[in-house]
Amino acid sequence: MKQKLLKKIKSIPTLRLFWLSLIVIFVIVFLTLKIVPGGKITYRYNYAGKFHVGQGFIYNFTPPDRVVSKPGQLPKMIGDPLYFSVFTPRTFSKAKLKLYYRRNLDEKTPIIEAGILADGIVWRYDLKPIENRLIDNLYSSWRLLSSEPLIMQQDAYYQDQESFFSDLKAGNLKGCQTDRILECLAVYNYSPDLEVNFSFSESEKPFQLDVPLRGAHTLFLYPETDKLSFKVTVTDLNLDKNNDPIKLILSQGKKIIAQSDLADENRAPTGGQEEIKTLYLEDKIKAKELYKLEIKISDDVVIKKIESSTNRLVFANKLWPVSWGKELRVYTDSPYLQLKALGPASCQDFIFGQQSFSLSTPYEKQEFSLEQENGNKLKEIHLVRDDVIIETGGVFSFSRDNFFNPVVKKVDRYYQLRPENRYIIADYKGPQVYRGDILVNEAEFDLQGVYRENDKYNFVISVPGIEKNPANYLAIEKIEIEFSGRTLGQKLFNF
Amino acid sequence: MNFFYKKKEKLVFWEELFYFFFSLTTVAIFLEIIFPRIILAYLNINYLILATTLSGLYLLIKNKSK
Repeated sequence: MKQKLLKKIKSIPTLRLFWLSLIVIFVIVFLTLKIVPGGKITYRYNYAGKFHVGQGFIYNFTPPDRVVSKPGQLPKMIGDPLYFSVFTPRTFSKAKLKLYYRRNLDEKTPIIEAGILADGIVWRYDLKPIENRLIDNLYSSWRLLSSEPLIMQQDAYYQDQESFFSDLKAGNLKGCQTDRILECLAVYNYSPDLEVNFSFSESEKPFQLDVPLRGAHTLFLYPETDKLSFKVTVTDLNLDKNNDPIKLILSQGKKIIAQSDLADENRAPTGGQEEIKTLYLEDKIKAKELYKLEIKISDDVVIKKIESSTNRLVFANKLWPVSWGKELRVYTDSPYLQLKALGPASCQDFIFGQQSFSLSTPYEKQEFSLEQENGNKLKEIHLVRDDVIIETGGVFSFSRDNFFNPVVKKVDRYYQLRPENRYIIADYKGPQVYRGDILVNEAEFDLQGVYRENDKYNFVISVPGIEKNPANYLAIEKIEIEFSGRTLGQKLFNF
Repeated sequence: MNFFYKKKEKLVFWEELFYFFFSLTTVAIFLEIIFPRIILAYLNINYLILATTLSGLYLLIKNKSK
């Protein structure tokens, strides 16, 4: 048998043996690239390169109207945000994105960020800094306390990082008023560990909200009792056929305290067949401490009613009132708003901080800033029609008396340096000059649990406000993503 | 005689080259079906199909003229 085989092999011409071995090598190489046995691989796309042998792993930018692509030129981002997805032959646990870019951005567009789609239900992107020119500009004039994390102080209040952090936790920073630490501090890509106390004119009561709110919402709670009960009644509109699971997540800092889930059991809904569901969350908590409650639902679900044991609650960043049919009054201390009318019927004139504004264009996010900035004073937003997405960097409340803002000011494009702002803490490193006017910076993402569809991770490049000035653009020369995860050895012997 | 052998060797080379490209394209398509995009991301299979077609056509022309 063996001799017969040897004879057969000998009869094959040398040339054939050669190309057969080439094919075997070809298969081995591509299987290796599929498995990535070392657990680390880098995918890149050079937009300056003229010839590409394969399609690459990085897909084209979308939507196409936010990017100008001309042959022989680098693609120019002109609208925000810009999405792209990356195919990977297997899953990884970390990604390091390196962006090589040239910018032509005015001073009102100081931020460049990159992100990954972390949650497919609420469509939440985990954004990381690429460039923050506000911080870069302050870098030379402020005193640097540490570089990791970046701590900048207006004056030489602290000499070492340890005493700064112990004072921060105690809520007693040098140069700041004891009960006004939130005004004294600004952060960027950083969540400080600090305890804040709020006082209210009225005593705590149970709360009921009947204003229907569409999609995911996040609340901050500051209960004064040690028991929290929360009941949410939602309507699944079933306008699309996707699953609409509902989640309530109560957390404190980065720790999840309690969670309540409701799976979508109706897997084949007929169009428009509405379903009413109720979800409860009850837990023992510590009184007079700050909690975050996430109502994680898709935009196909409307929160009909919220019943809570405490009225010490505010909504973070976003409100989307729908089908209310009455006038609506909400309160914020933010000096700006971003409003999006979800149809021509939602366009309206509205009042914000006693100034009148006009929301005139449907389906487009419009910005409204108060001409005379009156500090952190509470402002009323008076809307006459609903189905409007209201966004801000701060919080919203339905009650003037129970308003509190636990959000530390962010060094974003709306940031205005005030004399009482003594410190900036940021997890940020500025970009480096790569070549000529091309800059490079990297952002690292944790891929565990992030949304992945059709073997692709979804990334975003965000330059908020880029479309405000037609001369603004961000030319992208190269995108390089280093993925790392478990090696083949770890997968085989250590799972 | 020597010339005849050289010509025959040349034809064998083209034959083997065609077989090589054909087998490589088949393997590439097979791998692409099992693991989508793994080949296409690095290499455009159209180039392989083109090489197979060209080598096949050349071989056909040579065989006809023989």
